[in-house]
This record gives sequence, C-alpha cells and structure tokens, in this order.
Amino acid sequence: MSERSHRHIAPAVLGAKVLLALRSTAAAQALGGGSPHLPPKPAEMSWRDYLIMLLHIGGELEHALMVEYLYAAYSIGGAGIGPRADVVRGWQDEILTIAREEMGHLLSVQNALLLLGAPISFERDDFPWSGPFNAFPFELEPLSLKSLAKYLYSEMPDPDTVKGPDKALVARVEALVGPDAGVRVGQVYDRIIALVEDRRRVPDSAFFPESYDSQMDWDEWGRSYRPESHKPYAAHPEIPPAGSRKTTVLVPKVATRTELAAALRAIASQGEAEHLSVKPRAEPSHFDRFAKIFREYEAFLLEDPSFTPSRPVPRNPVVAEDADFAPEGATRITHPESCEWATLFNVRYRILLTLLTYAASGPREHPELAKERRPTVISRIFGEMYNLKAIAGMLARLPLGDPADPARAGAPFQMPYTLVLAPEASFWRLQLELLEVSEELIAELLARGPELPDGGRYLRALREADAVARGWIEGVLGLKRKSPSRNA
Amino acid sequence: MTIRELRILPPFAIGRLGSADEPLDNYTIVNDPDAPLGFRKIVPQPTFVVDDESGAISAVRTPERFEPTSGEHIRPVAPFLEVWARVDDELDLQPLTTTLLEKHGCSVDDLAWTVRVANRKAERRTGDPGDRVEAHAGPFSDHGKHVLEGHSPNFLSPERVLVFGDVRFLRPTAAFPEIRLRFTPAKGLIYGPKLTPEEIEEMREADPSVHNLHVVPDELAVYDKTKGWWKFSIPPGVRNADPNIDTFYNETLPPALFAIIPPGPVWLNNNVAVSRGYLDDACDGTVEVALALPSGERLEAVGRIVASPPAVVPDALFLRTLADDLDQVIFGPDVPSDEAEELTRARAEDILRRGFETVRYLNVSVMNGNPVQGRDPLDIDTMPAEEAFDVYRAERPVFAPETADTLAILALHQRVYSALRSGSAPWFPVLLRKPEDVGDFTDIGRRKMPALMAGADGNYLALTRRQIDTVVRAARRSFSMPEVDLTIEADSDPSRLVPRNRTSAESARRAAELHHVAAGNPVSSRPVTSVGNCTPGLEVDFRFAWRRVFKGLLLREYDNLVMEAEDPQHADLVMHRLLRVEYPSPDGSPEPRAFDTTCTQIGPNPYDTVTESVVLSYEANPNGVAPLEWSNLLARMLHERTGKTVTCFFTRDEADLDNPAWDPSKRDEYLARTFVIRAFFEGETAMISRELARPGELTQGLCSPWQNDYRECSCYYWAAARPDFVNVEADPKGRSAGDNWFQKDHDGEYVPDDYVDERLVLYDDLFNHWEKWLRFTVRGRTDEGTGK
Repeated sequence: MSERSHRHIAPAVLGAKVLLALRSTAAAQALGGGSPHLPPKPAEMSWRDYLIMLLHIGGELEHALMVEYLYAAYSIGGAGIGPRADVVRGWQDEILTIAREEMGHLLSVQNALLLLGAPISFERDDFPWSGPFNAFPFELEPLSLKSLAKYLYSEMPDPDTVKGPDKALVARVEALVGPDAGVRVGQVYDRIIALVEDRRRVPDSAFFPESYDSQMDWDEWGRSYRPESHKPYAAHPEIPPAGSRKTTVLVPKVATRTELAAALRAIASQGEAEHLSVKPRAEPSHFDRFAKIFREYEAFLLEDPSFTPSRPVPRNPVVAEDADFAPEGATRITHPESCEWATLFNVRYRILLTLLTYAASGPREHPELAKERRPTVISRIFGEMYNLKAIAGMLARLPLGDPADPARAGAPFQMPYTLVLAPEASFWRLQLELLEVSEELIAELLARGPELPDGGRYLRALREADAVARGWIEGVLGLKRKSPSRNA
Repeated sequence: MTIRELRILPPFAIGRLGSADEPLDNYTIVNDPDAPLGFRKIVPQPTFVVDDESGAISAVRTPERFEPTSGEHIRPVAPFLEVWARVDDELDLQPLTTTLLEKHGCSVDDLAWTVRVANRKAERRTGDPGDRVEAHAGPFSDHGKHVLEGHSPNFLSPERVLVFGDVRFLRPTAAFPEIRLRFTPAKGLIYGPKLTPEEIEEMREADPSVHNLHVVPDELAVYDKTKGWWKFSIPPGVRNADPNIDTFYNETLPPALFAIIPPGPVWLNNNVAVSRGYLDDACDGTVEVALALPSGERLEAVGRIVASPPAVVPDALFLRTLADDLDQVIFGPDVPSDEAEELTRARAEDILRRGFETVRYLNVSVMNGNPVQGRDPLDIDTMPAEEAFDVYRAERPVFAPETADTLAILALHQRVYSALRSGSAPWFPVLLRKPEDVGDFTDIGRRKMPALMAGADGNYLALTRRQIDTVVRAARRSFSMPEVDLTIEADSDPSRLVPRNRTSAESARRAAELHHVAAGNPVSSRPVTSVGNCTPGLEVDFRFAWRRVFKGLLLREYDNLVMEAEDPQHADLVMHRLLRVEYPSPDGSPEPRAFDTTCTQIGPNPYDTVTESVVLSYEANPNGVAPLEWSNLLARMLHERTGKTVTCFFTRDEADLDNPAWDPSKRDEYLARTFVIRAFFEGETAMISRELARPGELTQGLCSPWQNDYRECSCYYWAAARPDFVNVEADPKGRSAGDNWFQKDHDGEYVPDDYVDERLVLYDDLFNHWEKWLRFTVRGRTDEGTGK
C-alpha cells in the first residue's frame, strides 16, 4: 500500500523501516483486529470506506505479485539450465500464466471498486515497500528456490487445511522464508469478503449496480484465456475438457453484493486460498503451480547443486541518475545501453498503467468519445504488455554494468509519480508526450547501434508502430498530423 | 555427355487477365527494413521487351514505377516458362540454352511445345461434357503466336471460338539464348449465348432495378442456347436445405456461383438461380515441351499455367496462400525437428506479418458482425452472418463489439509482430485454430486465429498444419538460440525465398522449383500471391487437386462423396461417402493413424455458454456434420503414404442426400476398401500431377464468369486479394474510417456491402466494365501509385 495509507493501519509516527519490522507475525498480532495477523479498522474510517481501502490494498498486492512473477519469469534462461530446458520452459509458461491471472485479479478489484462507487487504482509503491498486509517486502528478484518459497507462502492456503504431501512442502517453505513472513494474500481476501458480506456494516445502499456497464469484462480483457467449452453432452462439465488450456483469466462483472462476494471468492480461490473454492477446480491454483515448480526445482538441485534456472539478473534493478538516488538494496543499472532500455521500459510501463487507468475508470466526461476510442485503448494496452515482454527479455540479455561481467540487467518496473487521470485532452497529450520521449530513446538506442541484433529489429518496428499511434493521437487532439498519418 | 532430363520452371505459373496490349512489367515486392510494419514496397524489375514481329527479346528495361493499367485497360500478367536441363549426373539444373542444345547436338528446331488448356466451369454445373471449352496448340517449334482457341461441342459452330490468349516460343538470340515460352492470357471477356431482343427484354423485366444489363456482344455470343448452360437451374429447395428434396444434384460449393438472370444475389431471392449462360476466358492447363535428342531419345517436361483475375492489392500477401498449401504437400505437415531455429522463427514472423497485412483490408467492426450504421448485421455479408445462415441460428458478433476496429486490431497485430522481432518466443500457439476445430462456433472457438474469415470448407479459416506447427515450434525454441540478424523470408529477394525448409535435399529441390522466379516474371505470377482458402478460390480451386488422390476413385471436391470409380471394382462405391481413412501408424503405435473426414458444428449451450456446447443441427443436417478440407485433412496421409495403401471406410448405403459422420459403433458395417495414394507431383518435379487434375479442372469450381466472384464473395474469404476496407484513416473520434473497396465513389463514407445498394459495384457493372471497377490498391489506397 502507498506510504500515505500506512497511517490508517499503523501508528502515524511509524516510518517504512518500522513497518518492515512490524510485519513480523508477532508484531502484527500485537495490533489486534478481527484477523490475528491483520490490523483493525481505524477509528477514523467508516466500514465502507475501510472496505474500499482494503480493496485498494488488495489491488496493490495483486499488482506487486504480478510484477514480481513477471520479473522472475523473464529472468529464466542462461547456461545454468543445462539439459533441463523443456521443463524450465514449462516453468516460465506457468509463471507467466499465473501473472496473467493476477492481471485478471487486478482488473476484478477495479470492478469491485466501481460497484462500491469508489475510485479505481493501479497504484503500488516501488522498492523498498512493505506493510502489514504484505507477506514479504516487495522485491524483484530472479527465480530461485528461495523466491519460489516466497511466492508459495504468499499464495498458500491456510496451513491448517493443507494435507498430504503438501504438508511437508509447507514446512520446507516456511523454513526457507523464515519467521518474518507476514500475512498470506488469502487472509486479506478473507477480511474483504467478510466485510462485503456484512450487510450491517456495508449496507445495500453502498453498492452502485449502475456501474455494471462501465466495468471491465472477460470478453474485452480475457484474451480467450479460459478452458474451451466441452463438446456436447459432456459427462463431467465441471472438469475442463482434456487438452484444454489450464488457465482462466477472471474478469467478472459484478452487479450485486452476492456477485461481488462470489467474484472475490473465485479470485482468492484461484490463487491464494483453497478453502474458498466453492466448485471443483477448473485448473491448478497458483499454489499448486508453484508447488510443482518448487518440487521439480528441488529435484534438479539434488541432481546438480549448480543448477540455476535464471540468468544473472539483479535484485530490484533501478534506473537512477546517480548512485545516491538508488535505494538501499536496489541495484542500479549502469551500462549505458541497458540504462536506455530500462528507461524505455519504465516509459512503456507508465503508458500501460495510464491507459489501464483510463480504460477502467468508468464513465468519463465524454462517454461517447471514450466509447469510440475504446478499441484503440484496449489494443494499446495489450500492445504495451507485448512491449514490456520484449524489452524485459532484452534487458535480461544485456549487461548490468561492465560488459565483461556476466551480470545482466533486468526490467525495473519503476512506478510513475502519479496515475491520477487527467481530463480527456490532457490525458491524450500525456500519451503523446510519452511516445515522443520513447521516440527519443529509440533514436538514441538506434544511433548507438544496439548490442543485440534483435534489439535493432525490434526498435525499428516499435518506432514505426509508435509513429502510427502518435498520428492517431494527433488526430483525436486535432493537431496537425505528422507522417505517417495513414493506415501504415 | 548428354541431357538427361528437362524441367519447365516454374512448374506453376499464374497469368492474369487484362485487355491492355502491353503485358504488366516485371516487379517484385520487398520489405523496407526501416519500416517493417509498413506496406511492402513495389520494386520494378528488369522487364523483357518482346519484339512482336520476331518473337525475340529485343531489350530489357526496368520501368520507373509500377503501372498496372494502361488507360482504361488492365495490363495482363504474361508469365514466362523457362526450360531447364539436367546434364549427365549433375544434380543441379541449368538453363537450357541454344549453346547447351548445340553442345549436345541439338537445335532449337528439335524442341516442340504443346499447350492444352480448358475451361470446365459450365460443365461442372451442368454435368454436360459438351459444355467443356478446350484449346490446344502444338506441337509447334516456331516463334509465332499460337492463339489458344477454345472450342466446345455446345458452341454454335466449330468456327465460333473462345480465346484463352496465346502462347509463344520466344526466339532465342545471342543475348537471350535461353529456351522459354510466354503465356499471354486473354482479355477478360465474357462469352455467352446469342439472345433475341425478346429474351433480353425478359431479363430486363426480371429486375427493373438493373439499369445496365450486360448484353453479350455478337462476336462473343458463341454458345448454343439450346444447350444446358443457358437457363441452367436447380430447384431452390436444394439450397434451402429442404429435407423433402429427394433428388441428387451435383452442385459444387459454394453453390450457384455463376451469373444469373436478375435479380441477384441468389440468397436474397429465395435461392432461385437461373443461368445467363456466361462463359469467361479464364482457364488452366498444361504446357509440355519435348526435345528430340540425336540418340533418338525424346525428353519431355511439363508445367502448368492458369489464367486468373488481376492481383489488385499488389503490395500485400495473404495469410494462407497457395504456396503454403503446396509447401505443406512438399514438406509435410510438421516442421522437422532438425530445422534451424532461426529459420523456424523467421517463418513464424512471416506468418504473423501476413496476418496483419490481411487484417489491414478487413473492416473489422463490420466483419465482426457489429450493427453497421444501425442496420441488422445479418443484412451484411460477413463470416458470422455466413455461420448463422449455415447453422440456422441467430447471428452473434465474434468479439466484444466494443473492441472491434480495424486500425486498433491492426496495431495490436503489429505490436505482437514487433515483440516477436525482439526475440520473444511466440506465446500464442494455443490461440491458433486447429484444422479439425473449424466447426467450433463457441465463443472461444470463433475467436481463434485467424478470425473472421472463411476457410476452404466454408467454416472458419485455419492455417495449414505446417504453418501452425511453425508457430508452435518457434514457441518451443531453446533459451540459447543464437541472436542473429535474421532476414524474414518475405523480406528477402524473391530468389532467396527458397528453399523454405531444408527437410531433405529432395524436398528442398522440389520447393526451389515451385518457387523459382523466372526472369521477367512479376511476383503476381507466383503461388505466393494466390489465395489459399479455396472457397472456391481465385486463381485456382485447390480442392480439385485432391479428388483423385485415392487411386481409382473420384470424389466430389468438398464433401467426400464418391462420384466415379475409375477402377470398376469399386463401382459399388459411387454415391457412398468416405468417412474415415486409416493406415498403420509409422511410429509403431498399435493405434492406427486415422482421419475422420468431417467435424461437428457446435455452438454455445444457452444454459452455460462458457462451459458447455450443443450440436448445431437442423432438419437437413441432424448431426451438424461439416466436411473438412482435404489439404489439411490429408496432408499427413499424403506425406506418409504416397505410393502406399490406406484403408478407407465408406457408408454402407448411398449417401448422396445425407450428411453422415463416422460412428465408431458402426465400424463393422461400413465398406472398408484399400487404395493406393497417388503422388501429388509428377516424378521429382513440383508439377501437380496430371493424374490428379486435367486441364480445366483446377479452375472448374470457380465462378462463371469470374467477375461474379467479386460481387458474390466478400473480403472475409480473401481479404488481401479482394479488399473490403481501403483508404483507411482514423476519424477525429479515433475510429477507423474509409471506403468499401467495392463502393463506386471512394469518398470516405463507408457503404455496407448488402449486394443491392446501387452505390456499390453490382453484377452488371462488373460484366460491363470490370477493368474500371476492380481498382488497384497500393499502400492501402486506391488513389495513388496505381498508374491511374
């Protein structure tokens, strides 16, 4: 959660460092509240307001997990994989699948906020960041057994409900993550769901069913990520058909309290809390997926203690003008070309987040215009996801600093200073400016002569696609068009 | 030393119709490495100037720009066919030249050419062999023009002919000693019956809204109207799927693709289709060359030619082309495990590039089944509307209507393509439609890629299996793939397009021949520019290449019905349907390889649209059965069993009026027979075997006249060859705005294609002035760079 939220859930005088310490189970318990590890509702907030804040926190957690998983997935590669490439490629697919599902969770949280008449949010804090609702401090790190253990812990069902071989696994995970691990994501959802279902504290009048039409839905955002339909007359329609993709990006629209509670249960069940699952599982939970990877990883280490699935990418890479600006524990990218790529990454990340905020924010001052522009906005959002994928892949192959050093760079995922939505024209002005900044970076990179041949091929295509996008924005802003103005 | 073998290269050359005197100059298309998302650049190439009198190449010039028209006339594509030779034990072919001939004791006079072409479109509908129009030239060794005069028993007299163009053995010279023949196709005229003023008036009165009824001029009125093609029709109930119809009619699919007495189109007029008796001057056939050696031995080679409509979007390539299908025949449906990863990746990128080139010309909002200007989407010809008609269900848009916009979807495809260029492995193989799932009309099924377009079986389009496997393999590539500066296949100089794959020397050689770029030939003469989703196709109807693949049988081109038994022992199979093909698995598995010839059309179950589905049945098709296209269905069988036998299972009873599907519980009741699989190509060449298709057969399912096709088939069949959306720009609100390619005035006001709006190009507009209305589109626009 953002720094400003901290005062609502912890004494205002506490700074981030103290909060890090408070994250320990014992400290959190000391704060009391309905859930043993979670702080109580502050006295200065209404219950509806508190629910909205919890949803904001839930969104931040989903955002953070998604980014951490993406970073881990993009770190995969390099010589340490050896002959296990097929299995490790499967891990990468699984982690990316989980990240996609987290994206669905993040969008679903925005729908919940819209139903409550609340502002949406794609915010989160940068490294260093933690709080009483985090299982661990936010951290971008390469895939390792330890990082896997953290993901497993975050997505873990209530340990008391775990049975069979998973019981021993949970013990190994807890040993790896140590005693400072905080609350699991499922616990946060427990509290949110309990509040949603509490008619006394959150009355019917707190819901805005008319927001339904403005909410995001699977048809627009799901990208066909769900199991295929059964052939007719399926004996067991509750089990996905054989050979079907084992993933579902959930983006349920919600019109009622009941639907909202069901949606939140579905989200929690998909990743974090087995006990919230009301139907037989359509696909493995995030916990199941990570558990499979964890076990395979353990087996590989037994066979070959030098096994590593990751390239030598840093922890918490950042772009910082000066070493003094890099937070403690972060790794500054210093190789000039990598630094430009990382900056380009941050610009594209900002484009993505601002477009997402625009698309998710419900009725705007010009609903008709927003409707006309929606196809382009959605296309741009997914396009930017592909750009992040491309640049992150590039950074994981480029030097961190000294080219002779095997250390590689990584995608910094640094947040912009704000995601507050500007009025329509200003919003598009910002988009135009961000594309112009990108163009400058692309030009510099091309002038430099990218180290990787793929880099040049990608940048030329990116430059061209951006030119078309700029032409489109100039058109809607009524500015004189630059070439190419046409269907390129 | 001796000449051992001859080849005609390319073995498949596409001529394109046009009435201009001067053939189209040579050109090719290339990608600009600095603008990889842009249009392909049309680059003029060295063009042969043929002296009309002598028949020799008198000069070579490279034009300054691409000019597809000359005044009001379209310039025909007149391809050259070169003769190549294999000498002694050399593996490589070399051009046959006068020098080489002399070296082996031969002269130009020892060569003889024979050309056979035909147009069987009317015959395919009427079933009367007398409606076949055939032309024959040769053997000839001279260098004059040999007009391909088409004759037919059903013409008014032997003197009345239909001209398919001409062929000419170019006179070799010292400067140009190579042996080559040029095929110049016809002008694109429409022939037909000679009608009385009363008959013409009767046609006019049939639909007063047709103000410019085409009248076949006397000199082209060659057809004897007492024969069957004039006023040919079948009962409308056949096309209305009336279950009471108990007579078999041998229609092709799509049905009624011919010029009909107004009103048209047929499906807006209760499926009444009465033929105007029109014949076009398109054709296909073979070119043979023979060389008499001093030893008395005679060498022969053969190639195929086809005459087809012009390539009106010269700077785009379709997503699935005839080249993709032919490559699948050559290499099989799988990418070999030892193919270089860079090559697989390059081909995957090429597929995606062609994908966005195809999207560019679709009005995605319209093709998605969205309401158009408030009108019912069912009024507009689109794939979701076609689906609704096919299965008798209400129409549903395919994607969320709010997301469908051409420039937005184009941009998204381009971003995906850009990401692939960064070295990212494709992450979307699961989104590609499997060829056996083309009848899956659930939401997820319809949204598979390629979306919104029809395939050769009339269902949603699938890529070839080899294209799909290319993307799948590219997704599985190693983490340590070398980072090389790849040249995408389609970026390459045409001569470097081959080999597309180095599976084996034999396959590579065959592919090199198929894609050979003969000197002087524009890229539009090559299979890469021919649409591959043959419903029925434009240049050829590729389904017809498969009908005789089971030696001894002739199947109907689209639904596995046995029409003839070339082998009398199988005469009892006529009118039975082939349901399944089996043969022992080559990997030793106890389960045989098996291919069912049909799929089941399914749609969402209204009770649970996400999880469950229902069979989309109706009275005439109670099991919702849809036949699958052979090119994908039989690709593996062809690859694994050519020259060997397979077991075919046929319905026990005649099934000409039924739509049966394979039922495992009835396995023992079916008629099981063994057939040898014919070779697709002749010998070691890439020439589609004459045993599979005779002259005229590869085009017989196409529209008659072909002009009809442009009116009848919207762009969802062949987007980059028959565009829908041109001159596209974003409007001030941000939506894509442009012209329907088929509207008469390109003024930026999109006219929905409803077949009857006079603002659109209608049937008789095309019959009268097709060269005016088929507007070349360059860089997405109809107003620049086209020579007009």
